[in-house]
Amino acid sequence: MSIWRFANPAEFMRLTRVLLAPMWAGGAIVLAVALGWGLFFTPPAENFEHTAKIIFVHVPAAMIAINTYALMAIASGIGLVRRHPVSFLVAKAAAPIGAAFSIIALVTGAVWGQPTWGTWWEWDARLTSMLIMFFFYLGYMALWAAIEEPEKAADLSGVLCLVGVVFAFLARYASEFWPTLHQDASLSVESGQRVHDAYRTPLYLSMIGFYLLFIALLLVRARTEIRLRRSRALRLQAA
Amino acid sequence: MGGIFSNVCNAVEGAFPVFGKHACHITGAYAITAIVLAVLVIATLRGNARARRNLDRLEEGRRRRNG
Repeated sequence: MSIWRFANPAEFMRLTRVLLAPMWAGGAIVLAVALGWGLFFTPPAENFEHTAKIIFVHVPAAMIAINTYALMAIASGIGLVRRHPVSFLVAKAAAPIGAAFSIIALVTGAVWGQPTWGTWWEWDARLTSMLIMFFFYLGYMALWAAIEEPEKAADLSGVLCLVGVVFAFLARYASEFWPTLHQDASLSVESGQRVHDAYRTPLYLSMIGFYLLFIALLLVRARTEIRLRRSRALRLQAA
Repeated sequence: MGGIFSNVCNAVEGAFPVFGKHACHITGAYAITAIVLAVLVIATLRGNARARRNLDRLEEGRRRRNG
């Protein structure tokens, strides 16, 4: 069985219809548990007091913002090389979600930074890369909206997405290349954990909850894009 | 403006004494997250419902034309 059969819109619609309800329900339940636990049942952190509890929204939001851009780049690359229409539609569907999570990461980071660093914003390499990545999200959506012909819009926005992938990479790794104000990753496969034990489980749960919500949103938006594409085809047939 | 923020923050700190002096920052961060996600979810669901209605209407029209 080939994975490419899911590039068939009818097959994609059939599969995603089954997946949607568990994703919405799972996301809502896991998020409620994780954020409730994180907010009310964890002790204040040694250096950051209660403000450390912002990581339960900031870290998952930043991860999803960066990984969504990587997903869009992969989907755009596949779309450009293999000409699978669903690839471009998935990339297009993911962009507003990635942009929203970028806003959450930037704003919650600023709210955390003010009492901790004494400033809302600093032109730190990681923060700046994240901000530029957010602008690439906006540019990508604007380009899709500006070009009427869908095939041309898909190709050009796909190329723009691939150009911006360097900022997604920097948003993740900049603090390791240029250690400035923002600390390294809170959770890292290479260098182990940097989060206190009491915070680890609710943080993992929060990440799972946000990812389930992300998948639910992505599937709904991809289904919307497929419907819009089908509607356009029917309108052209009727004309 | 600063006075309004200060009053809101004092009220929030009073409502959530468990978070100490940073109650305003913590509740603010969670409130902004909730608002952004709510807007995203509502826009996504509304967009999907609209696309489905349009497609149903077009398919109905095509069926009628084809007899």
